[in-house]
Amino acid sequence: MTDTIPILSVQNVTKTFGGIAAVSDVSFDVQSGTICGLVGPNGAGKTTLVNVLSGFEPSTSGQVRLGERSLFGWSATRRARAGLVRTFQHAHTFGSMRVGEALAAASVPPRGTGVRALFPSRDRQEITDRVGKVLQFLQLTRWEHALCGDLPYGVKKRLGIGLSLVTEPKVLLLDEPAAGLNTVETTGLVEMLRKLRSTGITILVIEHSMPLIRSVCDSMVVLDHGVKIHEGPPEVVLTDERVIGAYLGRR
Amino acid sequence: MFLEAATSGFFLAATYAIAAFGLVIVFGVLDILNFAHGALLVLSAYLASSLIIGGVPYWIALVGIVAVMALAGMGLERTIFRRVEGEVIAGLVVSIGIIAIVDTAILRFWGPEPRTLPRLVEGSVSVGSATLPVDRLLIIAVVAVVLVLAQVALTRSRWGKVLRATAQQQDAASLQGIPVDRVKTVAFGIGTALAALAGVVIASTVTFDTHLGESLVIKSFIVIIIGGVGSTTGAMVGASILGFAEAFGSAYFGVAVAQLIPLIALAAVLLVRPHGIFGRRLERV
Amino acid sequence: MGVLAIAERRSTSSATGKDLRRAAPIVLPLVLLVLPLVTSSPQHHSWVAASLLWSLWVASLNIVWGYVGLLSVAQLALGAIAAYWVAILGARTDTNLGVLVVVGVLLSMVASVLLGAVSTRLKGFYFTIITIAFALTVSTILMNWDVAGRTTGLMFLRSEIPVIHLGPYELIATTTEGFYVLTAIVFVLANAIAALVLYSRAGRAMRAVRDDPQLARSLGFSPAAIRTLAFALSGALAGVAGILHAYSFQLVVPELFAIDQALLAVMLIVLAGLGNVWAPVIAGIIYLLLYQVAPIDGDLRAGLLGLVVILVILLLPRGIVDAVPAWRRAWAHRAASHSEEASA
Repeated sequence: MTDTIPILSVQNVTKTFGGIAAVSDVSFDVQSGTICGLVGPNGAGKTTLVNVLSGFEPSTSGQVRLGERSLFGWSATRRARAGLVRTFQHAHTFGSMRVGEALAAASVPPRGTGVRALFPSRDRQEITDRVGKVLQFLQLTRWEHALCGDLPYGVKKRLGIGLSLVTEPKVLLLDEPAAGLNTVETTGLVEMLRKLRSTGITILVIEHSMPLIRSVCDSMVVLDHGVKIHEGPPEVVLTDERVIGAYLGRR
Repeated sequence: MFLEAATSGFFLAATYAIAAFGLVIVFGVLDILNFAHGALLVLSAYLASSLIIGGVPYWIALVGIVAVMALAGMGLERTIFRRVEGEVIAGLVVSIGIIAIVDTAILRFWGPEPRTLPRLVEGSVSVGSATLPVDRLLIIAVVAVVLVLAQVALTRSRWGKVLRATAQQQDAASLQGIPVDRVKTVAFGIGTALAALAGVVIASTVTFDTHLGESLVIKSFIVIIIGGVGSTTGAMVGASILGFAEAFGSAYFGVAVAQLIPLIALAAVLLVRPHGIFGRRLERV
Repeated sequence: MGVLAIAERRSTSSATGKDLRRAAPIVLPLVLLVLPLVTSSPQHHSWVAASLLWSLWVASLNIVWGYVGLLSVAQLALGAIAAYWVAILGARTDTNLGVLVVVGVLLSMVASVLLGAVSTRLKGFYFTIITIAFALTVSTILMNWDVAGRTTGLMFLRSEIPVIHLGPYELIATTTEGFYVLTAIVFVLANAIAALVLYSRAGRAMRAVRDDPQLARSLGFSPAAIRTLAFALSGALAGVAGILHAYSFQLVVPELFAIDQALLAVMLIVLAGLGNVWAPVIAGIIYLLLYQVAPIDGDLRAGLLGLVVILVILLLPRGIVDAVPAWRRAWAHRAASHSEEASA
């Protein structure tokens, strides 16, 4: 396989708050079409890193590249439109809309939110198709007409993923997608992630659940205290002493 | 001229401080921006006017009205504001409804003509080249005393500590055994009582109609923002800044400029330090 | 389960039904144009005209409060800008009235956008306080400005409005009937534009940004751009309302646009349904019934309205001002319980 440019490249990213470095000189690459797991004990800096990657926080130093483009100075909105979309750990939804409406709304931005958004969309059918596909993919069809705010927690989280999917992202950053899900839902999540990968999307998953990481990730990055302590395929990383130490040492 | 402007400044500062103090307590403990604060203030003024014109001695009227309004405030909290707790905008809307009702009642019972009361104490004092009205000096003194007592009560007394604990962290307070519901009712009652006090005090110094309420509550909001939302010290500092700025602005630059000063001060604070002088930092939306 | 029951029920509703429901608030107001054929009483005409004005104020407020989620009492003050512009320049220059009106509305729009720009950094109720300060500033400036006529104001006569030719008809705004027709036409158009925007992707984007700005950003929405659009539209509506408001009194005076008038709009919209496309129409109906038709003494009206508003807020489950319009939830609950009964 020739040297392809990684679709997501994190280069020496540091983020400090006050005097404290939440993320310290972290670098890694994610290859297109793979699933990479970002793990580490609580407080390791994973969510901060995702916030920096997605543009919700500016990095103190370092670079993030999407393919060949540097994302330096890009707002979260701009990054999302470029195909770098993230989800949230706590299920965020558009509480007043119905599920179908919310998905339809989310499929809008790449085509413009300025004055052009006022005019009836010629591609209304395309939006309906996209929404339908996402509903099916995430098994949300029965919830299509329910109010987002009234959904059970697990469904809300699925919807969160659905909203990002409907924008047809290139890179998906999932912030603890399994948090708050029961065993059945988690299995469903694993299935879904596998299916997603086969569509060509690149995924970076923050997770605590080791079984999930092991079963689904092509590669892993381990953070501890804001520093990357290991990187590589799960079988290798998970047997590394430093990694085990980092998790056990927290007890 | 300086001394007269200064006295005016003190008087305005005192007025704004006593008007805002109650608002701060209510907002701090209940998270409610009670827009009706001004309407209740004016209602007290009207009640005072009827009693005083009817021959009731000033101080008795004062105590009576403050007591009645305190009870009324507690009643309002129990029945109405309890339901919209925590939702600031809903509280604002409900208070708008209350303003409508109070203003209508005032219009009905007292008519649309502005009211004037005989002054508390006639006469003036000459200090140097300035002539200072005695009743204003008296009111400044009384209000200052009340505010100092209130602030001390808030910081030192047991009840004050209970109030502040509830304001900061309701759940923690409740776990400590504080009867949070009762505290909230009392807090609202105190707020209304202070509004009543302000109203009765002001009634004898200006010619007023229902517009006074609106104008004072807006000034109180501005004072609170300048001083810091949730801080009584801030309210007093903010009131002082506003009062003196207005008094001196009016004396040296004219009334029109003086009216714009509160708004300019508000804009300045919101741009530079939105949480006010003594306020806590705000979260970004 | 309740929620699922609605889902099942809804998926069988026809597309045509949905289209009809959406078209209704736009099409129904056309009835207003026929009113002069039904009654020739000037009193009726002026009643409905006054109500339509409040519909316009509510339309403006609905976008800021219902769709951006920020309570504003600045709508009337924004309208004042347009009205005073037309009044002052109309008296002092020879400029065409149409041009003055268009520029006036643009000024209101710009002022609204500037006001909105301030909102991005602070919590909700701070914006409300800023709008209070804005309204007060406008009032204070107008009351102290000679050019604006201070507290006396300026004349704003309908006789200045040229005869408008609509096909074979001549619209003369000086008569009560003529002014009513003008107001009705303006309202029908403004309401249609507002409704169409709210139905559009922009409207959905507004609701998305209102419900969860962070989530919206993560999906590529620009909250700043969307809010700017909302404020611009709301400002334009306010400008139009302001000019008509002044014409209806044939006067521009600070009192017409004062905060207590803005509070009336707030109470009306709470009853009419915040965030609802029908809000302007319903608000107009409420105003008509309560303020014009009902044989209640003038003084009591405001108090009665306040009382109703308080009752409504107390009775509705947590939040007429919530993200989910209470009416929507109530509808969903009712539908759910009906389905459950049916299947029992």
